[in-house]
Amino acid sequence: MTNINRKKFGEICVPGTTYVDYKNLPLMKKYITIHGRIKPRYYTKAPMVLQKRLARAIKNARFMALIPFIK
Amino acid sequence: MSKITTAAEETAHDEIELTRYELMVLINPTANSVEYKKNVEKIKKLLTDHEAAIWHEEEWGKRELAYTIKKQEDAYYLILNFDMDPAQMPKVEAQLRIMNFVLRHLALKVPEGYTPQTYNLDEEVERPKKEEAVKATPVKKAAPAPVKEEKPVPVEEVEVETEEEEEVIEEEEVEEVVEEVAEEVAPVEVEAPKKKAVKTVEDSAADLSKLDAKLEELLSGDDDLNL
Repeated sequence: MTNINRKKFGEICVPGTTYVDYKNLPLMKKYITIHGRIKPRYYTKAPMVLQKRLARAIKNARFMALIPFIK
Repeated sequence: MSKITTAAEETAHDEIELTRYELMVLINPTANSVEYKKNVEKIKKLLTDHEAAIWHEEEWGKRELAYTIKKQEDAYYLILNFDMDPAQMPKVEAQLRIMNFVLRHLALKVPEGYTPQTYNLDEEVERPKKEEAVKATPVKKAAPAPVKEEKPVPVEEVEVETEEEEEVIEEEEVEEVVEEVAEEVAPVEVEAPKKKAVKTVEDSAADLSKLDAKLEELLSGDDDLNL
């Protein structure tokens, strides 16, 4: 089954926690399309837990004008 | 009994569980550097008045916004980490909403093991997949190209050597030559990717020699007609 600590998804969370930081802009930009939409799960292949945390983080980053809603 | 209850209430009041917060504030960019420092101190004072213990603060400085907020395209970013009684949070947020110089604020609960980290904010993320696709397409086109490039050379020679008097006849002949070339080229192109590179080179060389021989015959025939 999906393991959150897999090498591919190990860098998403802040080390020592299960918290995805919305200030990590290089990570946020990796999981949005060129038009600013959140990449769907069938594209990112991320586990469901992480996909939801990522989505939450991206929405927070959008609210603070770090990432555009629409390009 | 009443004394015991009051004592229990007091102990409960002392043992308030503080929660860890992270507050990000966008401060109006039109203010001077002096006013900006005053504004930062106002926000810190607001937190300390509500018994918050600030344990980390970070200033990103003036930064371009992804979209305009209250007709401003830039803003000062201020990040504060603090422990506070969660009952005080609504009051703090109400005060932040009243402050004129605060464009926008976001307060989040942060897990206990969280340590603030620095990121390369303006680093551009590489998108390798599209670049690979762009590189792959011309390689496929390049393989059959050299076979095609060699063919049109004899046709040009024919056109150069033709004379003005018998243009009509010679044009027909040229068209025939082109058709023959096309027929001979077609099977070679289909088989080329399957066979080895050496065989394709040999085949192309043989075809070229045949074409040269035919052209020489045709040209010699032209010479006879001209005479």
